[in-house]
Amino acid sequence: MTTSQSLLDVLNLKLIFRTVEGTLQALDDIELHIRRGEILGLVGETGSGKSVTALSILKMIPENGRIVEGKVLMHGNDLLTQNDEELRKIRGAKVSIVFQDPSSSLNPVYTIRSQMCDMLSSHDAQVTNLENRLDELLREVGFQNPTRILDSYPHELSGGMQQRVALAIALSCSPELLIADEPTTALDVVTQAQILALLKRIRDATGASILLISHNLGVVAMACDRVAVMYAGSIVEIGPTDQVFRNPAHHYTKGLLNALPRMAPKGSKLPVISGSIPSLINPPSGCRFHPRCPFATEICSNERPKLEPYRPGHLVACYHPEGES
Amino acid sequence: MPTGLTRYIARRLVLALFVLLAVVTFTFIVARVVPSDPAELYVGPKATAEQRARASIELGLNKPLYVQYFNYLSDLMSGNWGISLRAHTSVLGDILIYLPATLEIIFLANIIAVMVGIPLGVYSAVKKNSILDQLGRLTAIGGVSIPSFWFALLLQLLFFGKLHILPLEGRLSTDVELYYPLKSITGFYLLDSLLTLNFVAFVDTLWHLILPAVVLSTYPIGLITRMTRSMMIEVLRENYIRFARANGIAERIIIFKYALKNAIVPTLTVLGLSFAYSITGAVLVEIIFGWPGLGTYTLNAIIEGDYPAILGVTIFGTIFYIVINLCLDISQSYLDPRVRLR
Amino acid sequence: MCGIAIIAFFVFVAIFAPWLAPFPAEGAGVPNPPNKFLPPSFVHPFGTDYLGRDVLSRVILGSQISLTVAVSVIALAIIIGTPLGAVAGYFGGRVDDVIMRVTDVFLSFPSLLLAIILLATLGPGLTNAMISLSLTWWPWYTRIMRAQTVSLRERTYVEASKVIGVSDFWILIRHILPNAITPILVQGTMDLSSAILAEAALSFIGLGAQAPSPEWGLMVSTGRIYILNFWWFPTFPGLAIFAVAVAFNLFGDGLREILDPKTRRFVEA
Repeated sequence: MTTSQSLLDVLNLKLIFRTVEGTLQALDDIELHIRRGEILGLVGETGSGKSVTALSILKMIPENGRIVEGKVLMHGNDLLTQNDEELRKIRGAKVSIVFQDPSSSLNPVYTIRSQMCDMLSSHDAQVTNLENRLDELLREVGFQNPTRILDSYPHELSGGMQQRVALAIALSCSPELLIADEPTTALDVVTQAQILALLKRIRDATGASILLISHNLGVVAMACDRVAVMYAGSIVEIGPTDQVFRNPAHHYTKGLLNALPRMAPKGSKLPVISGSIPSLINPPSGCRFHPRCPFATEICSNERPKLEPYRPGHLVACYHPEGES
Repeated sequence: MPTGLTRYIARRLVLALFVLLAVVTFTFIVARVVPSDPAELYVGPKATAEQRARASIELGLNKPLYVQYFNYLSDLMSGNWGISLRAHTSVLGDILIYLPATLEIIFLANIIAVMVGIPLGVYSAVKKNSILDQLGRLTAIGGVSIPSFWFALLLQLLFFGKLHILPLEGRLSTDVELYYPLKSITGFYLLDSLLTLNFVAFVDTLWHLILPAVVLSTYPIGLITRMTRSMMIEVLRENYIRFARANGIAERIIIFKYALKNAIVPTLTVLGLSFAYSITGAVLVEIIFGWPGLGTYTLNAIIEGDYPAILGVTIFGTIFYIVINLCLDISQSYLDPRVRLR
Repeated sequence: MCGIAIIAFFVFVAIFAPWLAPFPAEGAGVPNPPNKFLPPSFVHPFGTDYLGRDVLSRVILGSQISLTVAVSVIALAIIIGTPLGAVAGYFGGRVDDVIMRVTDVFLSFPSLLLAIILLATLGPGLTNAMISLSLTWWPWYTRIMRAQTVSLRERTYVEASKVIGVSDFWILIRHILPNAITPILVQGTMDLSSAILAEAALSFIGLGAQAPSPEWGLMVSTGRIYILNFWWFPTFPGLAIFAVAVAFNLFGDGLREILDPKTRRFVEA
C-alpha cells in the first residue's frame, strides 16, 4: 500500500541470521511507510530488530545475514535489487545514516575536513567553493566556529560534537531520508536534547524525512511525529506519537508505557511485563507476544496478526487490541 | 609540523638516548663483570701470560668498577672500540668498511618486503577466501617459517646450479672487477656505479644483489603480510568503516585511505622487528653468498674468537636497531595522531 | 588443524627416534666412510652424507634435539618472564618501572646479536645456546603478562578479593594468572617456531650444537659446500626445520583463532 506521500516503503521484509545455534528469524514481514518530511520513530527493546531494519534499508546487513524476502521502494526503485555501484550512490545521497556511538563513527586518523571532503567527492558533489560549503554544513549542525572543527581530529572533540560532525557528513549531500540509529544513546541528557532539537531543525529546513530509532520512549515522544513499535522482529503498532502513547492499542506498548517509572505512592510496585523476550531462533507461533499477553486467545497462537487500522492513521497488529475484544 | 609532533619527537629522542646508555651499560656488564677473566676474552685463548697481563692493565681491570665503566663509555664515544684480534685494526674502522655492503642488502630486502607484503596483505584481507587470500596466508606462514640459510642454498642450487642465470656469490663478478673496475665512493655499489657511469658494473651488481636480497626478504615478507592482513581484517570491521560505507563513500577510498592508514600503524612496529631480523639474518645470508659485509665479518670474528670484534658488532647493531625503531616510532606518530599523546 | 597433525607426527618421531632410525649409530654420528655421498635410494631415502652416514637417521635423531631445545627455551622464557610481568603489572610504581626498564634494554637488542654476544662470553655449546636464547626471549612474555595484569587488576573481582583480605600472592595465582594465560600460550606456540629457527641458525654459525651432533642447523652448515653436487644432505635437514616451523605456526594461528572470540568466523548465510 504505497501512497503518494510515501518517500520510502518497506514491504514484506524478512531477514534471517545464520548462527552457530541455528537460524535466527530476525525480521518477520516488516511493513513500513515513511512519509516525506516526517520524523518517524522506531522503538523497541534491544534485540527487537530496529537496527537491522535500518541497516536493511541500506542493504548493509552483516555477513551472516540474508534478506529472504521483501522490497524497499524509493521513487519506484527497489533498493534491494540495485547493484553495488548504484547502491553506493544512493547511500549518502538519497539515504544517510548516523549511528549510536559517534566516537567510533569517525576515522581517528583523519581530520574532520578530510572526512567531509571524502564524502563530497565520493558523491561527485559539484561544489564551487569548498571552504564555504564545509563552513555552511558545519554551521547547519550548530557549530559556531567551523574552522577550528575542520582542522581537528575526532578524538579532540566531545561526544556531542562528534555526533554533530557525523550528522554534517551524513547531510552533506542533501539526502531525502536520514536514518538516526540511537543517535543520543551514548550522550548525556543535555546533549541529547540538543541533538533532538537539531534533528527537528534539519527536517524543518530541508524537508528531509528522519527515521529515528531508539529504545528510549522519552526521546521518541520529544521528537517524532509518528512512531512504530517493534517487538521480536515485527511491527506491532504504528501511528501518530501522541495517540500511540496516550491510547496504546497493543498490549506490549501498553506494558512498556506502564513500566516507565513515574511518581507513585510509596510502596507501590513497578509494573513489569511478565516473561521475557522470546528466542528468535525458535520464535513463538502466531503473534510473537502471545506467551506474555494476558489477553491472548487461541487464534493468537495460530496465526500472526497483520497491521490493521485501529483508529484513523493508527494501525495495530493484534486480534484483541485495547478497547476491543 | 602537525600538532604535538615536535614534542613527541623530542621525548622519543631523549628516551632513545637513555635506552642507548642502558644498553651500553648492559654490554659493559656482560663484557667486564660477568666473565671470570675479562682479559682472557680480549686477548684470545692463544695469548701468552704476558699478553694477558698487558691486556689486564690496558683494560684497567685492577681499577675500581666505576672507573672501568667511565673508561668504557669514553672509549666508545671517542671511537676507540678496541683492536680486532685477528686483523689488529680498529674495530670501529673495520665495521664502517664492511657496513655499506650489508646495508645494501638489508634495505633492498626490506623494500622488497614492503612492496610485496603490504599489497598482498591488503588484497588478501579484502578478497577473503579467494586465491589471493590463500596466497597471502601461505606467504605469511611460509615466510616466517623458512630457515633463510636453507632457502639461500636452494636458490643457489636452482638459479646458479641448474639454470645458470644468477651468480653464485660475491658482489661483483671477477671479470667485471678486472675490466670494469668500480671506484668505491660511498661503498654502496649500486650508487657508486651510477655515480661513475659504470653501467656494466651497475647491472652486474644488481644481478648479484638479487638472490641475497630475496632470501633476506622472506621473513620480513611473511611478517608484513601477516600483520597487514590481520590488521586490515580488524580495521574493516570497525564502526567508522561501517559509517563510511553506509553513507556511500567510494570503496577505493575506504580500503586504501581509511582502512589502510589505520592498519599501517601497527605494521610499522612489525617493520622494526623485521629490521632487527634483517640485521641478524644478514649474518646468515652473507655467509652463504660470500657477501663481504658485516655478517661475514661477524662470522669470522666468531670463528676466531675475536671478542672485541664481536662486542663491537653487537653494540653497533644495537645502535642501528635503536635508531631504526626511533624512526619508525616517529613515522607512526606522524600517521596516527593519537600516538602523540603517549 | 593440520598444524597439530604435523607436530604430533614430529613429536612421535622424536620420542621414538632411536627405534625409528634405520641406522641409529650413524644417526648419532658414527661415520661409515665406504658409503660416502650416496644419492637418495630405497635403502637410504635421504641419501648419505660426506662421512657416509644415513641422512634419514640423522634427521630423525635430530628431531629430538630440535624439539627439546625449542620447548625448553620457550618454557624457560615463559617461566622467567611471566612472573616478572605479573609483578610489574600488579604492583606498579617503582617495581614496575625497574622491571620495564630492564625489559626495554633486553628488547633493544636484535635478538640474535644478543645471543651471539652471550655465547661469545659463555662459550659455544647447546646448553649455553639454550640459556642465551631464553635470555633473549623472556622480555616478550613480561610485556604481554604486564599488559594483561594491568587490565585485569582493575576488575571488580580483584578488588573484592582484596577487600576480603586475600593476599596479593593468591590473587595473582588464582585470579590474574588463569585469565592472562591465553595470549601467552598463543605467543608461546608461535615462538616455538621462531625458537627452532633461531637455534638452527646459531648452530649453523657454529655457536650452538657441535659436531658430530645430528642437529639440523649443523647438518645444513656442514653440508653447505656440497650443495651443488650432493644436494640431498643439506636439503633434507633444512626441509625438516621448515616443516616443523610451519607446523608450529599453523598451530599457533589455529590456537589464536579458537581462543580469541573476536576473530571467530561466522557461518556464512
